[in-house]
Amino acid sequence: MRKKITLSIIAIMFTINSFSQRMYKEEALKVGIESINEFREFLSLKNDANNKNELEPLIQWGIDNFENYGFKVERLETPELPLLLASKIVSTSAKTILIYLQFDGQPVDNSRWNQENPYKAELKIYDAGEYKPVDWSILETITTNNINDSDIRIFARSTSDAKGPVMMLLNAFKIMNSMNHKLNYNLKVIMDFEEELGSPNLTNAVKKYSDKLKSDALLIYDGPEHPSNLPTLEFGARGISQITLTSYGPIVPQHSGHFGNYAPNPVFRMSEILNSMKDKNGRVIIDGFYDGIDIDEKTLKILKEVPDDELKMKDKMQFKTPDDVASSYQESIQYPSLNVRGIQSGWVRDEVRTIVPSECIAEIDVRLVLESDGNRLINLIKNHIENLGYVVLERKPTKKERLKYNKIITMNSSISYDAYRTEIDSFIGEWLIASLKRTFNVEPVKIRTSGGSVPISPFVKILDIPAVSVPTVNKDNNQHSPNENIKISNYINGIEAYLGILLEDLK
Amino acid sequence: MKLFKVIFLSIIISSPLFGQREFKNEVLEQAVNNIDEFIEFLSYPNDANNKENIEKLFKWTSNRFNKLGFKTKRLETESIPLLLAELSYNKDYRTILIYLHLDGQPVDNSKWYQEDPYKPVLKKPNTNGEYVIVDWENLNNKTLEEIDDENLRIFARSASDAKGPVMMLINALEIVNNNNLTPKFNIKLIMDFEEEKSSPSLPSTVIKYSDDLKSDGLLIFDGPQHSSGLPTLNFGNRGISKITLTTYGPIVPQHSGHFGNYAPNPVFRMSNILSSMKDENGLVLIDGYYDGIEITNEILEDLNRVPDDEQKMLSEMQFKSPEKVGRSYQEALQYPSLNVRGIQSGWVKNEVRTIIPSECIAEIDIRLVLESDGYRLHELVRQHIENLGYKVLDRRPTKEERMSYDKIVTFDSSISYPAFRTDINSDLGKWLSKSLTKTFGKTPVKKRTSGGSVPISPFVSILDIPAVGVPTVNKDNNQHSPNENIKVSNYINGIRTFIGILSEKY
Repeated sequence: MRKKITLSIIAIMFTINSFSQRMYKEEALKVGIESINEFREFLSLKNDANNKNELEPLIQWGIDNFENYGFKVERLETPELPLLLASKIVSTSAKTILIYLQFDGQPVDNSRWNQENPYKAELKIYDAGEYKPVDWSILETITTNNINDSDIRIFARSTSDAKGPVMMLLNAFKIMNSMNHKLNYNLKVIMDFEEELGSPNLTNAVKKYSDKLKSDALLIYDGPEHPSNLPTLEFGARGISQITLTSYGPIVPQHSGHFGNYAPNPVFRMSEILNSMKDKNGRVIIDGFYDGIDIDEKTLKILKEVPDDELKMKDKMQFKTPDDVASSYQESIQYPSLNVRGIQSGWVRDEVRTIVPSECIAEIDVRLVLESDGNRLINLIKNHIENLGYVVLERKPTKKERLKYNKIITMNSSISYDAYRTEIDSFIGEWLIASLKRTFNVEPVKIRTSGGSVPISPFVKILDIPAVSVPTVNKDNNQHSPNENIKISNYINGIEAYLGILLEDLK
Repeated sequence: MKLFKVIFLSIIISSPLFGQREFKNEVLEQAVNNIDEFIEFLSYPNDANNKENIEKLFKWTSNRFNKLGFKTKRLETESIPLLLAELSYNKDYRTILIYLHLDGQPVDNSKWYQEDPYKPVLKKPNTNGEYVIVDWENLNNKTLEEIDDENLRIFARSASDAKGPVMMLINALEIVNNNNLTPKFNIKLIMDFEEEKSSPSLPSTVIKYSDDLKSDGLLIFDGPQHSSGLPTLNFGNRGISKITLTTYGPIVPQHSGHFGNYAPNPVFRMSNILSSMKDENGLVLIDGYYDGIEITNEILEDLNRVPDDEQKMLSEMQFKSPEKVGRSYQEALQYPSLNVRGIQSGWVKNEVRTIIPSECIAEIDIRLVLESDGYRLHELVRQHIENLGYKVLDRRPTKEERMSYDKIVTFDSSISYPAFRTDINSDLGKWLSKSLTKTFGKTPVKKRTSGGSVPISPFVSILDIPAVGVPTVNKDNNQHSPNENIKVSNYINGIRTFIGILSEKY
């Protein structure tokens, strides 16, 4: 056992030297550029899951391409769009890795794109403050030496989120085949066609097909790299839950002259509630909200290793001091958040009317961490509001209730998905770190928890496996917005990263 | 002198003739016979956004008052002219100025339950309480009580606000003329054609034409009666001023997952500011906000005489306890208010997005009373926010300011018009009270201050005259909304009210 480890260390040291720092750079660039026409064709397939009947060609494309690389592909039927499961079993005694890919994309509003059609990819180069269209033939001039000299991007829906990673993985298979390498572990790929809809059928499908999905770890091939553009691993993501609060004034808006000083104003009620939840530095002051979270020295060290440039972040977002939840950006993400996403009552600006509004709505989201059960946090908030003297209902109050209680709140809540977190020193964590190090000859950025939420807790919970994200696309990709794009250099790096993982020994 | 005597005698003689019953019947007859003119008048579109239409209405009105013996003058302004009509009976008489407005709120035809808001229809409620169109003949051969009981109403834009009162006055003047009841005061009418646009040119016009407008008292023929339906006099109105507050978070909305717990949220900032302004009973906590207001026992008695049914008000508006600024609804109106008219940040309901919003806007209105200078109150609010640690700007912050201050608020304020109030026991007040008591055989409701705001303070402050509102239309008239209407009984009683005033010596 000891001997083996020593051997592989030597082997790693050797390969790094012989590949002059980056192992698969040349191959990835060559195959990546060759694949651009195929990628463009893939990008032209409509993938807005709101239009279910348009997605069949996309599903078929998934089936064909994975079969092409020797996978057995199955449709896992759900009440709506199916999931695809592609499997390649090399040995029943080998470990099995499950990779999650997403094929669908956000809806598009053509009018807001700086190109004819978001499904017709365009190549653009950054020049004098803007992205200007450029002929695809320019890609042939890219070399491993000049790839970082200019900022060339493909613009189309789902370039980054997340057809790009699908294409990167397929390219990695292609290179592996051409190098005559074989997988040393079993690989399953689960393809989601409803991710942007919140994957409504995923939980049930994972339960139903848990035998087929059985594996030792889950990798998520989605999301942007750390802004430093270093290879990145994400070991967790916060969960998300929602609360909608409604406070009440008069049953219909009243003339503010006739009833100002008389009819209670729902905005003041809501302000009282919201203001009582946080101190002026943004820290939640609801008893027990941060309970259970313990950032020890070891964790702190991991968080500090992330090369965030907080001065730059603040400068970009234009505020002086962040909320005082923790001592750094990374540390603040280890805690649940309590955020007002929106508030609305009456009318403002040009539409302003001289009224006492009838109700005030505040939309809250609470991002969850592993230590914070969503139901527990929601209950804490409910108790907190009750302690302020409010009757808390789950529906609109009746007239009788309105005349009986001065302070009434409607509170609706739901938990979309829980948080997950995998130990950085778990077998899968160490394996991925080793792979990225070997591929890029640099220590990857290890994110303990990412702030955003991903719908993968069903896998973690039902299949009881650890999960890690391997994000590859550029941070500034306009994901979910018009003019989504992927940088060519990220596309190539992504192929390298995924190839490295395919080739990494897994015992 | 001789003439005076003769007229005086004729009033004494005619008075019994115009004892309440006869008077009522004559008005009823005149009003019903002349309903076509009201219909015609209501059919003139009067949205002040359309100057051509306003010009047609202006001509019609000018001609109509000429026919009644008034001398008219067009008072040019920077926007839409005002119409001044004058009828002088005797240069030794005192002069009463009456404010009328002829323009109306814009209309959205699709929301009206009739073909055209400028094509008046007569309606009455069916057994389900829905108003259905009936033939105009339904007005014929009815007593005023029957018309009232049947709840007959005319539906059209400005039926109540405020062509109705104009037509009441026209009918009252006709009846007074027909019966040789010469008023004992000179009359000036000032007619506003852009009241619904907040009368932007009124203050400068009043200054410019202050000689033409010179008079001893101002009556405002606008607004609804007290909800009891009793004859009402309105001795004051609160003024109105506005503040818009904006708080700031990240320069553009940020993903709430990636930056929740990090980027400051502008809604919490705004909540901090707003919740610090009032206690949970609605009392403003800002130091000095209610200074200068003293409700003496005498005032309290005046306020308590207003027959409000607060239980009913609470039940209608569906809340348990009112704010505790005053001990009663009427008392609450003697104080300045601080109301959030609207608040907005990010998105809600179907449009909700998982973001940290970039800013939060709160629209505040402060209703002013005579004792509260608007500028003083705004300064108090501003100081209060500064004391909370905010940098208060009157514009958006620059990037440099955003990076130097944690708490920034933009504070925009303006004062639309101040309050006015006339003493209930002033000559003008006593005269009107007497007139209404005579006409209806009961004491009118005397409101010391009405909560809403009217743009007449220029008259009060520039001409230095007392002002009283004489509201006549039904409270539930859907003013400013689709399906505006006037109860025919209110229309007829309004004519009676105005005849009573015209025939009461001032």
